[in-house]
Amino acid sequence: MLKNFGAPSRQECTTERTDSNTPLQSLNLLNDPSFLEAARVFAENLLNKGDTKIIERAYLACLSRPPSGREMEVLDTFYQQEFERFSKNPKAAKDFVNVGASPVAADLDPAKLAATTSVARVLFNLHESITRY
Amino acid sequence: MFNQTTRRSFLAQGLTGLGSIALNDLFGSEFTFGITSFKPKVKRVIFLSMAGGPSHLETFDYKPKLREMDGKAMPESFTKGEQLAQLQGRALKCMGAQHDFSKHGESQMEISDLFPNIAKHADNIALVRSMHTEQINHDPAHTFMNTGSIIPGRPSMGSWVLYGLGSQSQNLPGFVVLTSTGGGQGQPISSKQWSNGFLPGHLQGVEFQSAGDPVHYVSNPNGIQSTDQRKLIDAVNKLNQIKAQQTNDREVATRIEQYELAFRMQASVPELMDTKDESQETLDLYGCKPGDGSFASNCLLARRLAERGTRFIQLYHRGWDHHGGIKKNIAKTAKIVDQGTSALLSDLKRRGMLDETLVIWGGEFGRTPMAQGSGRDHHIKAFSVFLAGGGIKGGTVHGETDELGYGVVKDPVSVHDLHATILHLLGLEHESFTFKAQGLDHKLTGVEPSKIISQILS
Repeated sequence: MLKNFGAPSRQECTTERTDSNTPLQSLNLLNDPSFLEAARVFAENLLNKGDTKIIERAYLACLSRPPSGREMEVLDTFYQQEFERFSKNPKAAKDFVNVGASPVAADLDPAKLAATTSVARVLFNLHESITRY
Repeated sequence: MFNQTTRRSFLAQGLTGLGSIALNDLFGSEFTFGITSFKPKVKRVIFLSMAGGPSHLETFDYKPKLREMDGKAMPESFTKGEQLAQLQGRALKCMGAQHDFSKHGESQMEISDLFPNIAKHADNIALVRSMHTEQINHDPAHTFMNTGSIIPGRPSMGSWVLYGLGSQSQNLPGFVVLTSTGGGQGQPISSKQWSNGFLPGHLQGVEFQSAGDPVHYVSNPNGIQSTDQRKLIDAVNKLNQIKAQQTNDREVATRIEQYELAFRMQASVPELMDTKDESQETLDLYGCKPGDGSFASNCLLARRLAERGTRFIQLYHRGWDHHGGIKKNIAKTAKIVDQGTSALLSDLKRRGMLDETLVIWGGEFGRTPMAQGSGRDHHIKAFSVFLAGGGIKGGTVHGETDELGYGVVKDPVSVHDLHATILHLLGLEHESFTFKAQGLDHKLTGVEPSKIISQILS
């Protein structure tokens, strides 16, 4: 992962890292189990603090700002789609959240947890999330 | 990764950002840039970068006189006032070739016995014995070889080529880098060697893994089908698009393109990695197990990438920095590289791909005729490279060094001349192939005049 994100090998010093922006970084953030687990645990934390304003709270936690109206719209639609899909397919929901070493919160609705995890994945993959401006 | 927008970088992004927006409009999956003034001879380049600086005196440039002088003082007429690397200020003694040479093919090309397999291709390769460079240490010399400049931040030639010609592959990166080690101390290679510099970000080289899976994390998460992953990427890209409209940061546009490519790679990479369709005979030809991390395995992957449309493939073998024990160690490195290189040439040829591919073999500099203990020091005044493939006149030897192999005495070839020739074979005219950045029309071949090596072209 460090290599994918341009970390130099430790054989020589680097005063300034090269800007890198590759499909390998996208794949890493999309599919690496570490990030999937992080997204699921982030979703659990969001849901454990209540059912409302999930997207707003997620945005504040990730990007230190509230989402704009257009951003809300994109994520609301996406959440609804995911929630419906996981409600219809509980096995997919279970397989999806069952990743990593940390135990899955048993008291949460699996479809809701899975859909919230999907929203967290979107946020973790945003250019704004992984870039310091 | 973390791009802090300073005032300076904001201005830089503003300038180049405009260029990249216009270009993005022009970019199809394949496009012509409108500056091709020659008929292209090749579609792609496979650059076998022999990192560390292979000794020309043990590989491609036999000097009987140097053997005669073995152990004697290096004549001062050669070295007086010259810039040396680690030998600066030391007593300089000649060291004759540590390995024998033989003549090969109809062309009777003289090649070291270290390369029994490459030697079989003597009539297919053009050997340039008169290369010279400007940089005496590895990293700047690589930077010069790759970007035509020693100033960091210039685009690598793979990025230039991709900029000019686009990728032939929708589903794999157009500029792929692989590295291997073995046979000598493996000097580090920095990822800046395949940086896009001031060119748009999607043109940067992508480094695949040599050992194991070339690309990690290509499988969807459990419970996620390809259609679900598509929807997630759509959401990510929509939000990134909103950001792109607000910030004018060209990296966001690149990020969106890279997510699209990543999605397609989830299907294309497993197909690329699936070497079941390679016959045992082919594997024996290369002498490797696919994905074993060896140079030969990288050569096989290079051929598979070439078949699938990757435009520029660069393989670094880090193992040629023979400051000491050159006799034994260069034999090790040569053995590692010889079979893979030869297999790649043979394999491309029998598949009818060699005519449309340019294969280049060479390092960032050569090594001194003077001994450094039992090895040789870095040397920039003369080194050898060879080229093979479309548009190359096989069996040609171009240029000549003096009787001790110290300097070039006939037909010198600069790094920029090599660049001009590579671009020419791809159908790009190096003088007019420019990109405006920071107020200058940059080109790969720099400011000083450079020329195409016409003598090695068919």
